[in-house]
Amino acid sequence: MKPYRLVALAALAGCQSALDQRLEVVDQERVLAIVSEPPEVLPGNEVAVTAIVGGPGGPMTVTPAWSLCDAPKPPTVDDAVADGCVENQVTPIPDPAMALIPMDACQTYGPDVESTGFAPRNPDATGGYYQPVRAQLPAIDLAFGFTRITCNLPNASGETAHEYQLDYVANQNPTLEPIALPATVATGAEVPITASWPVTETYLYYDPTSQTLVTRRESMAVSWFATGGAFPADASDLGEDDPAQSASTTWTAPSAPGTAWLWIVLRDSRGGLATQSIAVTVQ
Amino acid sequence: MKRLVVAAVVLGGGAARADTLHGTIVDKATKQPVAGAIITAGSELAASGDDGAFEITLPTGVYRVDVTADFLEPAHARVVLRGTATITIEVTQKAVPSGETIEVHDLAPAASGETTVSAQFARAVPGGGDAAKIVQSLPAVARPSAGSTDIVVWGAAPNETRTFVEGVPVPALYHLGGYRSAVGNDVIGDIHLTPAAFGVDRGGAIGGVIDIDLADPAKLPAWKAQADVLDGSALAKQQLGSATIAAAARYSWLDSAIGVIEDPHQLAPNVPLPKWADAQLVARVPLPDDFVLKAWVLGSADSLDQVLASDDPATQTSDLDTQHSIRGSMSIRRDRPDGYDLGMLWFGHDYTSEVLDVGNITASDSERAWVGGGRGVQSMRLGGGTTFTIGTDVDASEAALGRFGSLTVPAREGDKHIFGQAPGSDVSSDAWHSSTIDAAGYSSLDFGIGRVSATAGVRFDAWLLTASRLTPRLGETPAIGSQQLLEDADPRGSVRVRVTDSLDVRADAGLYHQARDPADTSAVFGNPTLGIEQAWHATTGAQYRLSPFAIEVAAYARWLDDLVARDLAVTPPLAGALTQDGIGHVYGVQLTTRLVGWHGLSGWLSYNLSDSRRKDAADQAWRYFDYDQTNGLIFVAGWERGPWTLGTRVRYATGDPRTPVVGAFFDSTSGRYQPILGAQNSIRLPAFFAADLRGERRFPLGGIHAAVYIEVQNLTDRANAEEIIYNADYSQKGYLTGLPILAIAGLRLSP
Repeated sequence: MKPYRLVALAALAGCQSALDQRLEVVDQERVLAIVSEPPEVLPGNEVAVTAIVGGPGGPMTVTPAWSLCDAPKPPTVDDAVADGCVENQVTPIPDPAMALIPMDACQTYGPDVESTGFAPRNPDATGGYYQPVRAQLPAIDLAFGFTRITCNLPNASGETAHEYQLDYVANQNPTLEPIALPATVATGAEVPITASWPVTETYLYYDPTSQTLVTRRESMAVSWFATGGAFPADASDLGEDDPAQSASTTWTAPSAPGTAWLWIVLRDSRGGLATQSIAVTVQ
Repeated sequence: MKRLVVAAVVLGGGAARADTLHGTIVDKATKQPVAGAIITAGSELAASGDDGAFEITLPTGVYRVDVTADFLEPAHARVVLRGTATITIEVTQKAVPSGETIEVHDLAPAASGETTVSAQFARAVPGGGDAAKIVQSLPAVARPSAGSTDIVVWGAAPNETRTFVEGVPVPALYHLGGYRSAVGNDVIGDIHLTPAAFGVDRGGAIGGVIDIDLADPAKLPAWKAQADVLDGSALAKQQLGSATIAAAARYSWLDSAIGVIEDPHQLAPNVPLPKWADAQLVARVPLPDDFVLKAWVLGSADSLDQVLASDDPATQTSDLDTQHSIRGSMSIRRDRPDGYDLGMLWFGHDYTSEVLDVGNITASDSERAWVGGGRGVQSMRLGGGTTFTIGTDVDASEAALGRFGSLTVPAREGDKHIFGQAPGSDVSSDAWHSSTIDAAGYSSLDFGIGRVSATAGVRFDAWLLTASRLTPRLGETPAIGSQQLLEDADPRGSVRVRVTDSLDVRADAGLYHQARDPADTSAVFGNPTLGIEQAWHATTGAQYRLSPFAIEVAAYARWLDDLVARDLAVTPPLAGALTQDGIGHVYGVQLTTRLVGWHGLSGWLSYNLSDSRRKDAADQAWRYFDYDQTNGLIFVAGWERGPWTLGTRVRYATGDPRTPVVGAFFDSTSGRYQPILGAQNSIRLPAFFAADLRGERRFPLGGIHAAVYIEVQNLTDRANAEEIIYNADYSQKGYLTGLPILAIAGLRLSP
């Protein structure tokens, strides 16, 4: 930051202390993503949940203690889950390959209310509601995945709600095309990486302002991770209006030789995920 | 009117047999009342009020009454005081000074915690040379965060303190970014803060009241131009027959000025660079039969586009704020020997909007409001030191509002939130109308018996509150609105006892109400049936005068009830996202020493000890109020000698409460960590300290006068923490710091 103290500035000037706001360097064991397959179901259906865990040595094959969050989040809380889910208001998932989304999920996390005297819960920006799934690993921060639940449409006329129910198509996880990287790169080399996917889904959305159903295109986000080196940014976003089916970045290889691992996590705006990991020899 | 009486009582002395001298100071040429003159009789002092009136209690005898002020030629008269006497003293105004001069008439304590300062004094102390910026440095006002426009008075939330210009409520005292006041600078007169227990003539606030007077155009220079790195301003005055009209305007170029040096975003990516402009037109017309017509228009426009850069698009934040406001008023006032009459009408239009984008999360809100009202006051001296005042005022607004996004945007006092944390991802939308009409009538009686004087009053408010929808919009379903008619009777009063010639003690108490914010009446985001918030105020204090010092100790308490707060339930009732279950209390003590006009030096040293707590529902635990500052110490001084004016400000304050982060979890959907929060408001920012200095030198330049000024803020270059920030996974904590040492230089020209 250049000196700006000679001019008159007020407000939140100062300088931000050098706290790292980036997550792209995997220098300790942590969860990089939680995948629900399928990413969206009706309550009462099963999903398979998987945690993508990485560490300085690369991908880790570990099995978290899985549980379903039982505590609904008050609308006044900014966090994605209620305090109760962070504590122990959860139901263990015996088999993560067959995690049963509760029948009352649309009441606990969705818009269904006990009676008309209560306010339906608001959806996210894509009209979705989510069942939190908790992954607990020793010595690693808790991680939450979110399985989208197909619920009724609140605050809409009966006709619109019916049309939505008929035409809405549940989300599918996106697919990452194989990422081609050289097996060996020089230390400090700048390596271009492109993540591409064949399909960006469209979906039916109830616009709360116009109170009409509209078709929208998912926005996509790519997170870049590596055990060493650096990226110019730790994620790339493609908005709904962006027709691109790919995102690119440049990875600067570490200055020390060795094996580096890279992860690419592709997210669609309705909670779908795809991941890929690649090993590169740096010499 | 209350101010006048209070000032007289406080500044006066006591005697075994108390007779009362009522007087009026008038201009010899125009016969108009003269405010702000110092009246000395015997050992007693008083200041003339807006109507030129003063009141002094003295033992029976013959006295010489002296009238002085920086802007007056000295005058005097002799009076024989036996019982009650009335006198009118004519004075001659000095030529309008070419530079800024400090008027010291109004620094003396008037009541527990009350402060009045002149615009000239306010401009002399650090604050960018903007008169109304002094409010943030007054005793009883919490140290604001850097860039904040919030005014926290004795533990009251910003929206609980109301600002009036000539009795007309204005929506914002400051422009966005907090650099300048939105009510202008060149036409500002006295600035008056009543932190609690104010009189019956003001309503619609459960915190404090800020009154800003506009200057008499006749006392302004023929023209004035000023420029510094923040903005430029100009003032011009014209005499049209008996009418005097003054117009002033100001336009910011801070963003452009920085742009000359380098791209503002490269220079300081996270610095808000607002654009602002304001303009004022003030006219004063003396009419036959001692009537005076005063008309004015104030307008302001702001925009602030902030971008908080981030390497991750998910945390890239942009925030675009816009606010426009206009107020116009016309009043007729007549000052009589035994009181005054005032009639006033006002109108206005306000517009505010905010669009916030945090990654993929968008939230927006807007409000357009037509506002207007009127005021009528009649004050009569009944003899025997008794004054009766009766008045009425009406405030009305009709607002069209829209909002989109999360329930938690914009944030409210009491929200459990971490700086920099993305708002909730929930989305909803609403568009609605809301109207508020407050029709009030009030009366008060000021009277005295021996050493004891008192004010007793009552204010009756009738509120008509409407919202266009009782339930969320659903297709073309016709709206069923909400309409409430509420009434309140607010008793307010004070008792003053003159213990000795130098020592007064007093106690003030009252009941206060204010209507809910129209922005809270959404059936989706708020509650259309919200009503009125309530507070009881009680203050007691003692004032000791040891010329040229005045020492004041004040204890205060405020009990708040029916506060609008969030419904914390997992599933709130339909159209019930907000409740009126909030309660709070404030207890504190303030010690202030003021120096009044000693060899050109004036100022104050004030220490405030405060404890302000709230809870959003009865079953919640008490928490510190978001803006609570346990200790606040401020020293402000202005000194004028010859062509020099110097001002200084030194501030110390306990840091604001914050909620600690005790852990974090990974949110796979956003790919970011989210904080696990500890007990609400259980930690604090580090203490704040800053010393500022301002100097001005006046000199002739050709046929005109010039003044150069420089202001240096944060002389010690202390890195004051303004916010706690965290790294990406909340494992490390740091501070966002305020301004380093800064200098502002500028030039002012006048005839």
